[in-house]
Amino acid sequence: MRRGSRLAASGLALGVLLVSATASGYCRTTTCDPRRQACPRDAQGCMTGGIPLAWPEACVGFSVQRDGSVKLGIDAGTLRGIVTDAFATWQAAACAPTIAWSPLEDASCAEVQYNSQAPNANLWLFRDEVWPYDDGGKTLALTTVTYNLKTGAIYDADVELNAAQNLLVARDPRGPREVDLRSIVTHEAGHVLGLAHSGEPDAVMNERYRSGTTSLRELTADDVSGVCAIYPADRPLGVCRPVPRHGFSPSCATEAPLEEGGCCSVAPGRRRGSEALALAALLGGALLAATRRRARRA
Amino acid sequence: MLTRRQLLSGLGAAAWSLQAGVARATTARALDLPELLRLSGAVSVATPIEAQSRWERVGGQRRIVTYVRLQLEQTWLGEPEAQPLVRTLGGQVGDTGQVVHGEAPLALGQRALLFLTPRTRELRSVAGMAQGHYPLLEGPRSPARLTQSPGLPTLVDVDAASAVVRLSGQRLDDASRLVVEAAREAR
Ligand SMILES: [Zn+2]
Repeated sequence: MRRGSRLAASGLALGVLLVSATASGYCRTTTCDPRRQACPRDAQGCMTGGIPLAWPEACVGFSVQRDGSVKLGIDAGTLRGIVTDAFATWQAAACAPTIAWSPLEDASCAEVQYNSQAPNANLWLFRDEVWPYDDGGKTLALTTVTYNLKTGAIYDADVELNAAQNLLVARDPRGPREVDLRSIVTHEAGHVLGLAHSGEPDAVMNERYRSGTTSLRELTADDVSGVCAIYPADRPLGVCRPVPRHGFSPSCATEAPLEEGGCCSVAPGRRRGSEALALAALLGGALLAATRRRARRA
Repeated sequence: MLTRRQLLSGLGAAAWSLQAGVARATTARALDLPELLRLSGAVSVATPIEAQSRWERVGGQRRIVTYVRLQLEQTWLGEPEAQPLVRTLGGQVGDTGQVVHGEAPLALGQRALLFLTPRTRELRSVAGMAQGHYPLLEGPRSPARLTQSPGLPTLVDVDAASAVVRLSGQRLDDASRLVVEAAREAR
């Protein structure tokens, strides 16, 4: 059977699979990490353990990487405009979410990072040459959100856009190979704001997108409910100062030592201390072996 | 080629996922099973038994990563290894947490079918990130079935050939047959 007809034949199955995975409704990202603790979920599939994430500030700054995507012919100004529009879309929700985004100076560096003592940037960047993750280059965009796990306060958010293997377009897509950058950016902006995926089929934060379409550009009532739950009018706010945590650095300043201490968790029923030590030893052994091999090759 | 049986099992998967809630993030093209297998050095049923998070450089980026040690139960493809170490993005160090939307959330104590990348420097990762992670839902009297990873990204262009559609909802023995057949075809 050809792929096209196969797709048509399976439309029903897919529709049920992807629409009903969660009954309906937005979910918030929380501090619960299933690698560390049990993270219960409600009937909609939303994580109920942990503290929901939110930016504590009323105003947040973001930067785009100054090279844009040479490969796709999308310059920094175009990306900056698309990201600005995407945040404006979220901000235009009926409840007037109490968070405003403004573009800061374009960044000269292209690093996803968070400094716990030095200045930072909430960066949007294209990866033109190499996509450095084990996903077969299939990821279109990857959002990394750094937060305080005791308060749920978001510290930093960086978004990588995979131009190395994907045809992202800044205009309306003209065929099924083209991916609408504005749709992807609007969806990722929802993650930056603290939203996880929604079971609502038409929502921007739903877990499906068909390339060649602009289906994720406009918020649905469910997206609006989500962003309004995170940033209601009555939340306590300070002055509007859109500076990243510890100040702004457009050059990916880095200061903190690489090691900030590790922490271990062990599956229920296992003895914590000894196993944690064993893992540390295993990890140490693995890295040592790799280092030795590299040294031998050099 | 998609057989009628596979399509029906896709429907079974859909029905099954009604019970298995998900919350996930980021955006990725859906991998089909041969693509997922090409990224994999091993396909195993395993249980995460320990995890350790730390700051580390990954692809030039300073990130929090979490090393997860697995207890292997069955290996369907690739070299069996009793307790492989898998590196995942994100985690928690001190008071700072990092969530990387789309990474496989390897829950401690949760049996799962895992597609693991070939071993490099004694380490593996989950192939295709959350698309290579299928937690097992086990009932007291019913056989274990594969579910979608709760870390699954927003999938672009999912179709009946997508690994997540073909595998979710399958019983282990059926999933094993699908994987082995797909590996044969992929060769
Ligand atoms: Zn997403």
